[in-house]
Amino acid sequence: MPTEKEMKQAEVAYKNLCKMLDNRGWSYSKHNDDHAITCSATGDDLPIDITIDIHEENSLIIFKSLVARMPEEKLAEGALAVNVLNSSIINGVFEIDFGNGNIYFRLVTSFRDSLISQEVYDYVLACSCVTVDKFNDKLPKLANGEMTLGELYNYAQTCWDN
Amino acid sequence: MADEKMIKEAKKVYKTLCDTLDLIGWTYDRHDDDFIVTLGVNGDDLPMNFVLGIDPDSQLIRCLSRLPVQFTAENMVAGAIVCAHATWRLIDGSFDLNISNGNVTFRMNASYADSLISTELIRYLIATACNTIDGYNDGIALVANGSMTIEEFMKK
Repeated sequence: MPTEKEMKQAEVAYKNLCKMLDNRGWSYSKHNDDHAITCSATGDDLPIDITIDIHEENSLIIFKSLVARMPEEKLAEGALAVNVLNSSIINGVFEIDFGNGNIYFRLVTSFRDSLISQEVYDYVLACSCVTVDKFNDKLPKLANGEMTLGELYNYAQTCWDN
Repeated sequence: MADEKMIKEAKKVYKTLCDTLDLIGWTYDRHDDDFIVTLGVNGDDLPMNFVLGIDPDSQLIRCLSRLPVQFTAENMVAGAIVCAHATWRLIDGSFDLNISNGNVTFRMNASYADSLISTELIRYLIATACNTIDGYNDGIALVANGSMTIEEFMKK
């Protein structure tokens, strides 16, 4: 259970998160009881569905987005893929739920006892959207067999060059 | 490329990082020019080596730890599955398998741009990294050397 202090910090973090989205002029749904918001962004190709959750007990800002779903027979390939991507990025994580094959992108940062600027909220959103946008067309292609793991590996090694 | 303000900020966060390690009473090596410290910690079973650094360009506090394991080409898929499974179970951080060499690195970050970072945040980062690695490194090592199956790892 979060302490009163952790709850207060989470409340501040949630307000700052909403302020950042308001400043950007984004439309989003508030889930005040959970200190979470959901929204959608337009990437270069596919839309990006976003959940940003303020985790009270651990004092964390958690960005999460569903990127693809691997079929059951391709779960091992999905595991290789998330490791390929995670080894190519500085921040954030691609993770696979072996229960249903869903691949998510998650980016987490802590606000524990700290004064976190609007820039951090901006960064979490921008960095996450850019990373998801790089790969949200590639992972579904891997899932449906239009792309090989080798092609994904090569793309992951070069996609940050420009 | 980090500008003067970003370098100044990185220095401040680096000082907080070193102050936190001093408060905990840990021994570490400083690499002040690169805003990096390196240290070793004894876990319940395997030793853990950490690189904790402040990256002025991305304005991140970075925590990296290479696990003392290596997956061969033959068991790379098993490595990918156990690392992905462990990562899925975490709130923060990830176990990254580099499929080109079989190395596994634990990675965890915190963003500090224009912020006032507390020693508590750094403590959280270090404590979470230590607990997480200590909880999984033996299982990952056992899978790497063939002493544990993927199914056994997942049930752990």
